[in-house]
Amino acid sequence: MKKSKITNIIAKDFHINWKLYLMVIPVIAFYILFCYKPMYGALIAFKNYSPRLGFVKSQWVGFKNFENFFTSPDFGRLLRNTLKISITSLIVGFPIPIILALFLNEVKISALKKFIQTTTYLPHFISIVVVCGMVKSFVAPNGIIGFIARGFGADGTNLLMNPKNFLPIYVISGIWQTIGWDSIIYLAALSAIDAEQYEAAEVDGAGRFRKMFSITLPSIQPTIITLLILAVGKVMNVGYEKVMLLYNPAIYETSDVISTYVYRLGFETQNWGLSTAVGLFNSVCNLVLILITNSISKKYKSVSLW
Amino acid sequence: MKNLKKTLAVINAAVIAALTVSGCGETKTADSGERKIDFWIPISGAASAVVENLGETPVYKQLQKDVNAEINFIHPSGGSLAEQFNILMASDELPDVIQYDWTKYPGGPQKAIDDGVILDLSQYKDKLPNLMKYLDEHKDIKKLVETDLGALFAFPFIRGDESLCVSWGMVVRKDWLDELGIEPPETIDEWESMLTAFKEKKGASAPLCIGTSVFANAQFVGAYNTTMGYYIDKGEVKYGMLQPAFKDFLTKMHSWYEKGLLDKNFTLLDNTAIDSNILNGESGAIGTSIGNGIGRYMTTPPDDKFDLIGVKSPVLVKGDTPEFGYLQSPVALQTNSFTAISTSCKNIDAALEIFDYGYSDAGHMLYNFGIEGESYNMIDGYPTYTDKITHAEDGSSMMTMLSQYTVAYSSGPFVQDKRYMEQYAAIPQQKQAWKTWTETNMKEHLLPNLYIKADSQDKLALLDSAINTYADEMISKLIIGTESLDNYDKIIDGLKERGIEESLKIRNDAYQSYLKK
Amino acid sequence: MKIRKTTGNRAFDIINTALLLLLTIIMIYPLYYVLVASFSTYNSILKGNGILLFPSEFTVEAYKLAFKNPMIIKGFGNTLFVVIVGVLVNLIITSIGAYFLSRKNVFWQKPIMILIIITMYFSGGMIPFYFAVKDLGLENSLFALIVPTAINTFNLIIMKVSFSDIPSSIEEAVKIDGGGHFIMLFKIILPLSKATLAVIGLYYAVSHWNAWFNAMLFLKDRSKYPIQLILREILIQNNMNNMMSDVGAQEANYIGETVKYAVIIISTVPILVVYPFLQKYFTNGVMIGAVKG
Repeated sequence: MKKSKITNIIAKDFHINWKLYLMVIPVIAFYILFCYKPMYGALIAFKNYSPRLGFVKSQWVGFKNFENFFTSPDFGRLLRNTLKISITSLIVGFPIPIILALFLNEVKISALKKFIQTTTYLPHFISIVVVCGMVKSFVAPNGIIGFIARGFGADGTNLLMNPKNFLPIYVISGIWQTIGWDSIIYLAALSAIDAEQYEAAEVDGAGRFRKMFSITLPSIQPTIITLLILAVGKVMNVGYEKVMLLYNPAIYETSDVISTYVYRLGFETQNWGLSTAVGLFNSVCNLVLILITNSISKKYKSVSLW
Repeated sequence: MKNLKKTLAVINAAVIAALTVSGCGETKTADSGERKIDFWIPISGAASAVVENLGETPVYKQLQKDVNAEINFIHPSGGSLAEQFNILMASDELPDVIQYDWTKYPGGPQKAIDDGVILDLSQYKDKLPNLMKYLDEHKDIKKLVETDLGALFAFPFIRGDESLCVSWGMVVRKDWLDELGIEPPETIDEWESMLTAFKEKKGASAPLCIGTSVFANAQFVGAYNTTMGYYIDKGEVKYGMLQPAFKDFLTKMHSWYEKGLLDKNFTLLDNTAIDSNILNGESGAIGTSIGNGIGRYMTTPPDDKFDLIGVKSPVLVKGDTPEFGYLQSPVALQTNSFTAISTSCKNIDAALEIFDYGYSDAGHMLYNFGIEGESYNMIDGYPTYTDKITHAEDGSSMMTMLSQYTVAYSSGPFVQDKRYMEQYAAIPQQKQAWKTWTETNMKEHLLPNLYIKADSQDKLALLDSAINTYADEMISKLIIGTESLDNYDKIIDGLKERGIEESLKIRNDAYQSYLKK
Repeated sequence: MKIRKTTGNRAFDIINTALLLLLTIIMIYPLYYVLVASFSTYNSILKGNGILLFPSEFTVEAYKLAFKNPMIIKGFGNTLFVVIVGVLVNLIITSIGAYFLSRKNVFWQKPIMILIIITMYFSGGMIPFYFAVKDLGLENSLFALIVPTAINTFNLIIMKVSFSDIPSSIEEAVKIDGGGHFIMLFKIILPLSKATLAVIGLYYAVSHWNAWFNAMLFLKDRSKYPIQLILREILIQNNMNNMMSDVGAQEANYIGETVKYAVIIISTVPILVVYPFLQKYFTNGVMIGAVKG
């Protein structure tokens, strides 16, 4: 009885929307061909994968790859550092592009606004290899930041030699590189705000900050929440490249993360099973996080990704 | 008359045919299809800066002529070789010939043969006259390239002279030594007083600018009769950090760190930082290589006085020959070291012949010196690079020109000639350093290329990664002092927890079967 | 009262502008450094300790060396093709997807959305992806850099959110006029979403511009390499070799530091030139004007 009701709904829906479904076929095909079809590859997390034997013939090893990862003597440290770095990046780094967009929006001279905007997104285009090279030389004792730090009583070593400094250096250089780029999306959202709202508020005698808080922010709230949910879903992803370019053995205790561990393992010989297992572990964590944030946001702000 | 003409023509044809067959052997394998080979080969940075494909370089054009074959070069992009090699392995169709460090194949090269990826060349001995001749004459090299089961997995890159295994060592500012009236240091004590003088009298902020990789190359730590990582001592594989003397070495380094003799940023040094220190007079001693180091510094010195001198690996007692030092295996494990023929090779005979050529006399000259009359001339029996190589008209560096006309600058299926290095290291400082650095007994201690059994190799990879990271971290912390030397026993326990004993056992087993070869 | 407000306003403007200009200097300096360094000699850069205001010992040697690389010009051509064709494909496919996902009262819409979101987190990894593309015959073709990246799920979601914001009253009007889905999308929704389109287009363009991984996987011919793959080869070689302490390979792969800087400048300038043209679309209230108009 119930079953036939659902079939009915589906049939009726198809009858009304078949043109829409026809239209979306290329999108579905894309996801099937490039995302779902290759997904069997995740199985090698449970295999002792040998490229020559391939996916089917490689030997099953159950959860051994996960075991190797979880029982590695450094597992606790890797997880702690990964979370520390990404959560700090999220808390500090997420609001800053919004603030930049808000204040940029207040610049009334159009040419100046464009100029500032263009320059703030420049760092996005510099290769991470070069950015890290520059960061290292800036925080050296004679570098511009190192020089200032010495004024505050730092000793004459590179700031990256001190385990305590890794997190701020990583996070701040990250913000520097992405702030302008990330603010573009908010600026686009800001451009959609109805100018009449501001005019009305001005008649009421609202100041700049009040307008910002009572009109601008609420207007771009859906964008902010959507991006926040997506950002929370990336918490376990701290890429290896930047960390490897900045860290050194003296500060491993605060800088060694899951992805660098996997990279080093792969560097010795290609242990695909283990790295896939670690990737899968990260994905599950991220998925759980995004589900939680999404349901919170749905409940309180009625914004949901789906 | 007509008959005579006919007879002559026949004889003529026969003679030509005979000459062709016996002479150059050019048409010998015409029956086994086209002589066309797909060759997967990582391209060096020096070459890719000027050509798109190695097939365009004079040396490989000449090779194709010499072996009468067409080679289609396929280059993976630089920087992500491991990924591309793995994808290649997963593909059903392999290129005919693959040049790579095959010891990096998961499970090792013997596994690659067992998996049916590449051919065991020892089955084609009679078709490899030149390579086999070389290996039979050099049993020590043969031991390094054969797996434990006696399989020959590739055409190896071989350094033709012991001196070619040394291209790196310690250098000191010679003008400073002269000015201060100090002799080039030999012992750790002499080093200490020299560095102190650099600091006090020359104002060097980081007199000794070396990273931990310098210790891995046995400098300083070698004075204490051990080194970082694994080495051979009295027929046994040992691990440096487990030796009591290693603690003495760390104690010394810690005191140098405290006194400001050792660069405070020693774990963070990259090429730019080292360049900056040595060229700006912040440092008086660095570890560097002959070409990219001494060569570069001496061609563009910061001032007229700037001068460098190579010094021996430090020892404890004056006059001793250093027991440890920098030394590479004669069959170095480099990206381009091993040229293997895949099981999908369409014309095995041709491939065997093409790459065996590198070990013949003519091939040796081609790979090392290029084309006679163009890139080199024989002057008194010595193959001398022409001005085209050493002083290119368009201002290209010698390395760039070598990458077009030779393969000696990199590695490949041939025996590297000492005379290449003699000319590449042309500046007196380079020659002096090269000679000085070779004076060690490191040969006795160098861990040979071990072919570890496939199942152990997987285990070893996991262990190595954890051990190396831990050791690097602890050595750095002990030198800086964030970890106290009193805790050294605890740190040894940490190594054991990460499986150092098992790792040593696997390596020792492999070493024993190496000795039995 | 009114006077006080305007002085307050003016003070705000001045402080705001000053702070933003300071930020601009911080932002611009590193690229400026790269620019200046690319025109200096290596030894003179080393003396500067990361601080350079003008080229020291001016030279164009680095650019001469960079342009000796036969791939620089070709790489530009390849990248240009991928960016132009790629962004067109991206925008068409993504907007169709976003249109579908932003419809109301469609039964399969939510399940499909969830299935799409899952792909952000689970993938089969590099090797199966390689085979999926190879099986379609895309290997060694520039389309391997376009088709498998036709949709970025992140961009799709942003676009969906923006489409959902469009008042349904407008859509109703079209439906009554008897317009189909394509008319609705291309004639009504896209013109109303110029700001979003500009941003998403820019995101796609820049990701195509910066992409090297797929090119590394799928292209066998060096003549097809995009500029970023060439740049990466040049930038990474010294670094990776340090890790291996492989002296022999270091010799063969050494690339001058200033050449790196020159290559960065060469590969960055074009996209900087394009940006201001896109910018006008999302600094004005394009969408609102259209809605009200």
